[in-house]
Amino acid sequence: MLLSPIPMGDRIQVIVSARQGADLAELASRLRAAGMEVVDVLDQVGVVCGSVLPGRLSSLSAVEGVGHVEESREFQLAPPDSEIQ
Amino acid sequence: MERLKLSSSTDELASSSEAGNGAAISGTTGRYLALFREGATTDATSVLAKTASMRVTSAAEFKDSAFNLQDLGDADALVLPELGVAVLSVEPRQLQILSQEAGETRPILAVEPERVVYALAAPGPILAEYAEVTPERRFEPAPGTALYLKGYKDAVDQLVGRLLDGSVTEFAQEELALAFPQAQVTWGLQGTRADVSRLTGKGIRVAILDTGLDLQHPDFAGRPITSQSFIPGQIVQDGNGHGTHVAGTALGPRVPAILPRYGIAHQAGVFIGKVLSNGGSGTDGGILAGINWALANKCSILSMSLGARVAPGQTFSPIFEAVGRRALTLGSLIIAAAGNDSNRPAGILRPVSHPANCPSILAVGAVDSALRIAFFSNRGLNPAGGRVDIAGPGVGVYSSWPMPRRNNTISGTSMATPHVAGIAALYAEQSPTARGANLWVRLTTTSRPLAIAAVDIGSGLVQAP
Repeated sequence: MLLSPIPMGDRIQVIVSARQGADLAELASRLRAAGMEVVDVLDQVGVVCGSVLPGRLSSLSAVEGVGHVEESREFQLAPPDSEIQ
Repeated sequence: MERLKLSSSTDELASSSEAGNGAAISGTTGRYLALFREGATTDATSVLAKTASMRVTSAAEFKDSAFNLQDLGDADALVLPELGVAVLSVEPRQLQILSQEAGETRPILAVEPERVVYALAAPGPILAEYAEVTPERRFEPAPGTALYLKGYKDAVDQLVGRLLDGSVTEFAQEELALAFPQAQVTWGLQGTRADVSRLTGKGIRVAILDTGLDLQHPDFAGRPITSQSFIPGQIVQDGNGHGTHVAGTALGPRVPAILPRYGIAHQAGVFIGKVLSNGGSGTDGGILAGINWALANKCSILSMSLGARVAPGQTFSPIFEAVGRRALTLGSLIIAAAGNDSNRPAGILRPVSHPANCPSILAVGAVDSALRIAFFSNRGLNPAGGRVDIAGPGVGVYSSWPMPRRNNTISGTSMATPHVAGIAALYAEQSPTARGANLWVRLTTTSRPLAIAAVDIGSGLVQAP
């Protein structure tokens, strides 16, 4: 299992949580306006997922209603014929 | 192993112990001691006679509780009521049954190999320590009885001492390993008592977030399944195996067409979220989408046999921690694998993986069938969050696999996790208040402590209701 956020192409995959009380759909709009390509708006968990160009990453934290911004981690299982999975 | 009679003489026992004939472990006689809970002698005797089908005799049956060992004949169990102990001559299957029956709140507290037989020089007055001697009744021991009973008092004292300091000897764990034949049911279901639970998970929705499921697997035929893929370009059908194996452990059938039984919550609602590709890869975004779907579908339990390696000193994800807390508030419990990055024989210990390292996500470590920590199981090293909360069977775990192979036996904290998830479903079925944080507490407080540090197994080995 690896821990290393790897940009897909030249975009960085990110997950952005909404601050307590912030409207999620409105947050998603503001994130788009800040340059994020929004792929998922997850209403139960209060998270917006998508990607952003490297230069835009730091500006996301300043968007109104943002709780946290994290680079999306990658997961990799051992091959199916491994003894330990 | 030749079974020793209760009536074997000490010479026979001593020589068999040295020669290793009757005893699997050196220094033991091949017989066992059962310690009864105070006041539970009648119930415990019933367990011996009925549940373990033993021929039980009691010291009380002999006049003045006086007997010679030769008087015991063909009895399998000798109850010493004054001590609350029984001496047993058991077959492995009976030992297995009694080991499962034993527990803190059960009539039989513990079962242990008989290790010590003393011969003492001073009979008579010793009996007054523990036998009821009143002016009206004088205890007249037959020759040898006092010595025999004193020997058992010492053995009982040792056993009680071990129980009170919370440890179970490695030695007893070895015995348990011998007591896990797997023709009918996997060792993992036996070790967690899931095989003897009457609960089924009925009415409880369990989400397995993994590589999907072999939807054509005969062991899931006829079972309603709700599924969704979160991997672009891939269907839920499991092209890897991992997801099928994990789902099998948590949710597999009570009576599969081919034994042994390997699944726990056989009537729980099956929710399969494919958040890992057929190649076994995934991302935070995909996993969060799966969690979101499971919560929207009112799954009380989310099982995630996945993790990303975390560096020593690294803290947990604030986003996943918030998600874990949110889930608990909604009455859902997220259970995740502690990770397999360690290698204890090589002295390599690594911290609990992401997202199991979140305080609000239940992190599961792995033990083997001798109830030792699995060599690969990560340790709760990191200060903020990063704990192992509980342990499950994770070595040599047999479960389902995509057809045509049908079944497979693999190891990992990935295998321990669905044991906890399946058992969580049983608790959730048992009680409507066993949800979210309450369910977490129910699992940890009923778990079985082992002789392993809490940084490795948290509260202990998960136990079914």
